Amino acid sequence: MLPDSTLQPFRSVRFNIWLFAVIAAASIFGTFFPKIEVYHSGWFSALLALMAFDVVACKLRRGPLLIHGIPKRDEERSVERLFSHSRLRASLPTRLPIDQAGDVVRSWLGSLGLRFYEEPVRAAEGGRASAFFAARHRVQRWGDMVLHVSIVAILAGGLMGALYGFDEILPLPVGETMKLKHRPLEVTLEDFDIQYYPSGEVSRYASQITVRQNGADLGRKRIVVNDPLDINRVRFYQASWGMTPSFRTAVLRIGGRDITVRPGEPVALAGGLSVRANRIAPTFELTPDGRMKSADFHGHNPALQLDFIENGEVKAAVWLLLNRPEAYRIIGQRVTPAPPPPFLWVAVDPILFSGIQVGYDPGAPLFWLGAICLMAGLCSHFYLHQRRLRVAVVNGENGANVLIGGWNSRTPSEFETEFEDWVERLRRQVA
Amino acid sequence: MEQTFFIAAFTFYTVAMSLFLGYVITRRESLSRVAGTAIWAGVGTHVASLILRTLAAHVIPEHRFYVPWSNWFESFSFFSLVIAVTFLVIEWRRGMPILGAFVSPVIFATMTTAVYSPFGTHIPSLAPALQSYWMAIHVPVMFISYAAFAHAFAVGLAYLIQERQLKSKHPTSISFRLPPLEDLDQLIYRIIRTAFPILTLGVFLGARWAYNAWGRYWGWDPKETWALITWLIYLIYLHMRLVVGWRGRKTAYLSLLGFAFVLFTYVGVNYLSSLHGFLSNQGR
Ligand code: HEM
Repeated sequence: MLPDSTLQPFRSVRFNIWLFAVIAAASIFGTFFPKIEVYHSGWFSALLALMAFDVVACKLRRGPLLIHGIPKRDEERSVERLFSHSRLRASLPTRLPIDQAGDVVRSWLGSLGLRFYEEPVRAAEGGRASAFFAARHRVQRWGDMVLHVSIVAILAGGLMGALYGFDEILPLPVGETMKLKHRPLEVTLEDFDIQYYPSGEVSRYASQITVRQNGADLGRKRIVVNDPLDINRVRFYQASWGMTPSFRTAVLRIGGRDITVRPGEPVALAGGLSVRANRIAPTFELTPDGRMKSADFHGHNPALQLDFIENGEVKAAVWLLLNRPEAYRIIGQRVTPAPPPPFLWVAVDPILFSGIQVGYDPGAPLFWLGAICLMAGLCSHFYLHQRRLRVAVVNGENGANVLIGGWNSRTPSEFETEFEDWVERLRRQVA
Repeated sequence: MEQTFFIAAFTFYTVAMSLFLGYVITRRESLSRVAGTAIWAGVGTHVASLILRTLAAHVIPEHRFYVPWSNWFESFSFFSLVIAVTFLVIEWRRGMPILGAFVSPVIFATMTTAVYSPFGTHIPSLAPALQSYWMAIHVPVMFISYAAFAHAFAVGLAYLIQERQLKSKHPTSISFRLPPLEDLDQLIYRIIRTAFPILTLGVFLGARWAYNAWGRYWGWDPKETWALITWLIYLIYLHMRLVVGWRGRKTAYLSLLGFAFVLFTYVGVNYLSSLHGFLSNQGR
């Protein structure tokens, strides 16, 4: 362990408040400039690590205090020291002898429903005295420690996930199988379906998947968004979907006649000309520099790429938009608007793919444990109200004097009324 | 019918706001009692309208998990309701009707924002990511903490006003209505210490949902990141107050700053990201 003085700056709350502020500022920066990798940078991780370190530096020192919070029975204490932490004080002179006053105090503490212990003490004058320690909601004292330590668990869980976890995405066309990079597992997409609202928005999409290892089934499930398949902590999520460039059939309407084409297979038209459909662009877009780009995979503006062939030679290559008399010629890398062709592309049976995200996060259990502990610590620290009483019965002028000190975990004013009420009850009992 | 109840709720909230302001000016105790009743009536009719809306939405099978806080209109409407209920709870616990004069304008503002939704007030088609029971858990928990922070903001404002009033030679009527500074300071602290664990819980519930929906519990998307930033601001408040011993004006300013971050997390972030917000009707 480092010497105490080295750790001192990291225990300082002001230092840590600055640390919180710097982390917040860096996070803000990161959301406004997403291109600059903030959250996975070394320095940002270092800030988080420093936060974990500070909690340990600060709280480890306090650990023993918690455990030894109850004074040892054989320890002799002077009466004055008993009250060094008491923020509320009262003193009740009685006419009772010490032993009898002690009995009254015992029954009073019992009637308040407080757990109490008796402690041996030494009165200032060396006379006899008895002292009591009583409390309600003492578990509250653990909250502060638990919540701080669980921050470390949460950050450690995140670190484990970053170091030893993996995440990959499999764009799987229906019927196909793909291998994972990080595990000897194979995923087959057996079936995929999409449902739409009447408005045309996607309402639901689902993948029937099977996961195999060396040919043996490990699990199968119809996964939807929000309901992944979990196999030994490797989780398979329905993440996205889209149209592949490929398709089963497409229908062209030429001169009032529908002809069905298959990818890569030329179909003869009149006069020695034939047409070959090659691929689909799901969401056709023309970039400012005259190139074709598919903005996404969702088929918002599908285009079909056709070659017109004469004598085995490609005479023209075009993009044709679905159900629209709109075409673009492909010349090398460039795409230029072309006059509307005398035919239409009217239908397609696309091959869809399902975006299956596979994630493994060995830090997750630690993260969730930390989260639960943080919640327990927070609730204990902020929702429980710990109240402690110190009571000493000492020799007074005409009999025993009862000294009472009160301490609470919240603002003292939140205990005042109750404290006075408790003292008042004792006053009535000793009278 | 749903709409009628909604309009009734809006009317009650507006009446309450006027009465609370009248209460500040005239110092007539009875006005604040009527205003409090109007908030109750607003809450009652508001709840009725949400129930009717939910019943109507559940007709579609995809809306099995529909809850009436799924788009802009519904979100602000529901948030208004949570603020109103939070006000009733704080008012019942602490008995500080003057708080109504600060909070009812906030409710009026959020209701107005709901009505002027750029996306209309129809029942939305739930995107696949939103079809989850976590929607019914995560969002209300977040909203309860946000509503409480709205109150900390209101009390912080009251604190700063009262402080000026006490310093000035000619205090106006509001200063007689406002509690002493220490009480306001203490109330800010009580609200924040109660709301902070709720915010924390809300963030974890969101993480749990993201773990199912997006394949990770934390991905630094702008909404998550801003929730963390907000959390850090209140963490600063708590350490300042509990360890450094800050009291009074400085912490009142922090309560205002905190709510500014809450608002940005709630609304502003939607302009940064389309994934996790109601602007696009896509996210949570
Ligand atoms: C979950 C949220 C947190 C809450 C509610 C919280 C609350 C508190 C409280 C109430 C204290 C005063 C303890 C006392 O006086 O006995 C304290 C002290 C402190 N906290 Fe936190 N804290 C949180 C997170 C953190 C984090 C993330 C750090 C990381 C750097 C941190 C660092 C410290 C330090 C260095 C102290 C002073 C050490 C001490 O006097 O015990 N806290 N915190």
